[in-house]
Amino acid sequence: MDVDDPQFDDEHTATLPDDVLHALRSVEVDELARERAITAALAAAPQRRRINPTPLLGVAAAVLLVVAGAAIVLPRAGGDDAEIAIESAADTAASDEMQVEAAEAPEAELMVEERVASDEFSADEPAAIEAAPAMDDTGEADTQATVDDGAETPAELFDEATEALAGIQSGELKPPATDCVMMGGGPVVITVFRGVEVVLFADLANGSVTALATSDCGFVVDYQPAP
Amino acid sequence: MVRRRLSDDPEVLLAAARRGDDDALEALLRSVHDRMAAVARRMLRDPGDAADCTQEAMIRVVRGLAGFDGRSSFTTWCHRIVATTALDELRRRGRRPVTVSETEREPMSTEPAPEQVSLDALALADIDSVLARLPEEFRQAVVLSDVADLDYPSIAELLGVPIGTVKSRVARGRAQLRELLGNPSERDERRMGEE
Repeated sequence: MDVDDPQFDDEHTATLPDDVLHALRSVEVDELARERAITAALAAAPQRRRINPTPLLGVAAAVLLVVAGAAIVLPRAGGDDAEIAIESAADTAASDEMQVEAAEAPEAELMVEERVASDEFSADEPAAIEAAPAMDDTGEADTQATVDDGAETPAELFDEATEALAGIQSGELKPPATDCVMMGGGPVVITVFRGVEVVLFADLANGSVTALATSDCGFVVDYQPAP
Repeated sequence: MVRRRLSDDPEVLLAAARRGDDDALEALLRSVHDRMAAVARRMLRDPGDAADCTQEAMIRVVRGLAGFDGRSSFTTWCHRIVATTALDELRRRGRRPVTVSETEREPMSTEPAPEQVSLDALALADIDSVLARLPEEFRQAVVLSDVADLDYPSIAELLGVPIGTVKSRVARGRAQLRELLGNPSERDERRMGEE
């Protein structure tokens, strides 16, 4: 028979001594198990966006910004494709003289402000766009897929985002419902970019716009106009 | 050069993690992992099972982050998740809590039983062994209260028992634990003797 004492008075229940509490709360944690658990949990996160200060990943972050600044649209067959594209461009980026600076935003410790010297990388550079044509099932470039298929350049996305943001701020529009999340910015509009439905996030602090695919919240493009 | 400094404030990290910042999410997970592991270990006792339980709980934390309503602290919420996961595991393994008999409701004798004498000689580091000597219902209540820092209503909900029962189990579990471990002065003397 179980103890069931609804009237139990715990007013004078003694707490455990501090050393016993400490011992109870301290267990030997295997480092490997800890890393495994954290890695597994991070992998289960619905959407990932990481800026790592370590040199190798720093290069990857720089590549991301280079790609965004140059308005190169990453193939959107899936998130893995984007990662591969970033990796393959790492060597090129490492040799670039492009400066990537990050400074902590004063009002939010977590905000990473990235500034890209975009003079060398025009957002409207058509050659850059053509560098990543959509591919069909046979691997052939599908140059027709880009015609009349939503915005073509990140600059157009930026304009759309700005217009939508103004509408939201004036109360004419409501932010779109989306499961995608993005650090530093809220969703402003769902639109189409080169045939891919995307949700645009306007980052007021950075004056940038980020597009995530609505299908899987994968990164499509990030754009910040030159000052 | 890319520089980044993450806040130590769990609330700041939580807000960033919920916006999709993986660095903040990782920092947040690291901040709660060890205590979650302690809850799992004290509940399940087996280190391997506890590690698996902690991992599963952390995955649940990440997947449930969007639905976290902030009614409790993030840490408490994580402790509740790992406690739930551990209880699920115990139930899955069919390790039903040991029913506490009426006789165990009687005040404990002040005379140490032979088994208690031997336990009293254990170093504090062996608290796991001492904890294992508690009736499972008492042990769970003490762990949920004193390791997971859950309040009585939360424990009652998790265990499916009235709050009064939780209070009773916590009180009796603590009392037995204290008795098995000996009083603080005895522990200090024992530690000084070991040193």
